[in-house]
Amino acid sequence: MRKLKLAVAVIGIAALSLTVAAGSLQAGPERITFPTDFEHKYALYGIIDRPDLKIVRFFYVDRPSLKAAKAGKPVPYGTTLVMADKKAKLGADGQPAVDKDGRMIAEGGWIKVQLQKKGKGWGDDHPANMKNGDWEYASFNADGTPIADQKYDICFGCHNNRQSASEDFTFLFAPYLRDHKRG
Amino acid sequence: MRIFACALALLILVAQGANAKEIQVTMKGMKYSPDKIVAKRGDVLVLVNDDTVAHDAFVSTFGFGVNPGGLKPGETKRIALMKRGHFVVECAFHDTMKINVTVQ
Repeated sequence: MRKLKLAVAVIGIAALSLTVAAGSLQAGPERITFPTDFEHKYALYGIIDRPDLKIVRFFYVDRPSLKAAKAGKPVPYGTTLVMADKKAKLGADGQPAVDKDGRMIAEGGWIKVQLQKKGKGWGDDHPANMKNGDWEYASFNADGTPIADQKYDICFGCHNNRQSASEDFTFLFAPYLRDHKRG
Repeated sequence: MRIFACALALLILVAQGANAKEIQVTMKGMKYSPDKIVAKRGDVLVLVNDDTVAHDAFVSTFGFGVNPGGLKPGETKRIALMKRGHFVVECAFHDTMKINVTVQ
């Protein structure tokens, strides 16, 4: 009888450990799927020239979330923000070429696509020192395959500098909404 | 007539270049100084990190976005003001640091 109780206890602990492990596996980039054809389906809300990296960064958001946020509602669960990079056209001096407005010129296809997505309760699975509300981050190659060795602490760390309710851990989306809100 | 027009355009460009100025912005004490700037097209913001901690200076405003990269203490970065309008420069690390810039 004593052996039976011990066996039940061991099985119980093992089952609990598996449950916790499965929960941990769910917290992270695997929660986010690559949004195919985002450049057409999503709305562009920002372009950032990065002369130091010789890339141009494009920022997109899914249209239903943009509509809700523009109407003054909190950024809804399910919101997907995209940061997608293209190489900058270079001049003869090897530095980024610019147009008449001083803007860098992107060329070629995507070289990297990084996502930020908000899901209800997602933040509950993160420790306090790596938790940005309910946002998760994921990085993909241009073909939509996940970047296996991507470290996400830098995403959490940097976006953590925008904690106010109006900023909601975003650098460009909050200013865009401030400047483009309806009503 | 065409030669005259080209010469006039060149003269205007040269004149604009001659009037372009560098506007220095410092960051000591986690504050951009000045934090309000009215500039002319062609002027250049010279961002100097004279603080003891790392800073950043990116433009978040749609249509003007640029990020010359982070600035360690002692580093300098430049942003050429080639487009007229109003935009905001922010530090990614310290959200209270902002500069309102108008380019005329």
